[in-house]
Amino acid sequence: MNLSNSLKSTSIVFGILFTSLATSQATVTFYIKQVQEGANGEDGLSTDVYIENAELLKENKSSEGTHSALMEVGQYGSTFYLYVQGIDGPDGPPILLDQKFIGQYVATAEIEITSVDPYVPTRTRANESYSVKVTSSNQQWTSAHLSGTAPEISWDPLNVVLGATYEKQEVDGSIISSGIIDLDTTDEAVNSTTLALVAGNEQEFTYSYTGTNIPADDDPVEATVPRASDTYLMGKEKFVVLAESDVDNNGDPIHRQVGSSSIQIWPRAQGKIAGLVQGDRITRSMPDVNIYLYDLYPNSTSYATIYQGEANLEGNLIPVYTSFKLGPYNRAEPIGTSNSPAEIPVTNWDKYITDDGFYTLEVSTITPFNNGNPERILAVTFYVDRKIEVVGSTTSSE
Amino acid sequence: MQRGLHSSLRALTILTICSSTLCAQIDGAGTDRKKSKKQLSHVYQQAHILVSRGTHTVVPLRSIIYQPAENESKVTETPSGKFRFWPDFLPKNRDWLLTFEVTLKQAKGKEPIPDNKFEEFAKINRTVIATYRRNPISVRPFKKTSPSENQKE
Repeated sequence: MNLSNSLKSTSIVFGILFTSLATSQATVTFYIKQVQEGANGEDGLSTDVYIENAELLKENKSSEGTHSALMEVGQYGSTFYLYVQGIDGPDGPPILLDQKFIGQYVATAEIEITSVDPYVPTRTRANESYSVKVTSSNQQWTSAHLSGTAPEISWDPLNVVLGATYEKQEVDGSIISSGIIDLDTTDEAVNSTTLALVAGNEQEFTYSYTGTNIPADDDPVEATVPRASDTYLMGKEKFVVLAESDVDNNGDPIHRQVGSSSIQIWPRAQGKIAGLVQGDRITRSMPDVNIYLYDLYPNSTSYATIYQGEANLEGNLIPVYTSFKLGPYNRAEPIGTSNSPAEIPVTNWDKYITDDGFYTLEVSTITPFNNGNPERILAVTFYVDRKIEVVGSTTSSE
Repeated sequence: MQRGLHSSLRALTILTICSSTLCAQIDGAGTDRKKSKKQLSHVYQQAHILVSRGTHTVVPLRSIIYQPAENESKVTETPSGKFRFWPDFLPKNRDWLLTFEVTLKQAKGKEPIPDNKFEEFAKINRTVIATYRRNPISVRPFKKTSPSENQKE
């Protein structure tokens, strides 16, 4: 069977989702590189295709487009690379957004990562659970095999490998460290796991995690407000499916990327209070207090509340004072970094303290997690004692 | 079956891109701290970097099919200056760049680029970039093939 006759030129269909995360005020341009792979892993033939559809260049929108590939997929398949330029400023180099190999009789795969946060692109908080669903199949091989038309090939079209990596990042996206996520359920650490495809329908493989796979550092917790740059769990986890697609000149299998997806990991918010400490006894006017917030989750709502009584999580509190501080928090203009924390000033609040007794100043945040209910970042209980005792005596003299 | 295959290939090419990937490069394993931000972007791999007038661009590896000695300094290992895409870079650098449209067979090394074309390139004395349908394309060295191999094309 002549493979190349079946592999005429195809169309590149791509979906591009923009958010204000990183493209605010940016003009971006895309281009696609197609590398028609050579036999046995030899150098391929590559072309650059520039996308001229202006609709695709608009920011803050979800876009899809179809672009015809200049060349056929080819006998040994093609790898398509999608780049965007303009993210790191108008003069920065293009960034690789995605890549995918397409070839006849090569397995396909889609990866869906799901977290509690419905936002797209997928993101979650370091201490929250998420799941990864890999759907893979090789329908072309199966059909050819069942109809008896499958050619003899020296590689295994049902061999699919899943690998995962993490990047621990700073708020600006620069990488602190990176490593491999162990996908094996046994004690033995492995770099990747082989998905056992069988000829037939597509198959699903699911991995569930109770929290991020980015490893924590050994820094003590109390040293993390404001956090040193490498103490928080922030970054990206990426899952990649590689499918066997050829053999090299030594007969060793060549795997190529047929699917990938990633999830952005955000750290837990932290805060500190200046001007008030746990157990303070206030006998005069209320002090000016400043609340500093770090690592606020994107688009979260954070606020300070003062209520009577000691700190509790009953939810039936009657605040005497509430101050709101809203997000957003994003990579383009982050707030709540160690250098530039978000601030909630609490001043002139004597009027809210009508009775003496215990009060609590609590800082909370509302995110998609915890069923959308507020979560405490910190709480400080203090005692107000403004009662004036006059001690006097009356004497009389004859 | 061929129609089914064709449609399957279309479906296969769906690339869903999320902006979570916008701020970091996909490639880059290892554990060294602070190293990756300054690594060369993926776009420079398997590419020639052309530098001129405070700007630079990339073209596919082996897409330069003629290079005069006086222009060698304009093809560099590392980028410098502002990045410009090829369609923007070319018009401002036509004094030393020339494009030459090749056929797919020529790009694949199945047919030679005629010798007289190289004589013309030498007379014009500019760096020549191979293009296919006006897009830069790499060109494999011409290799004679047997008639049976040609029939497979």
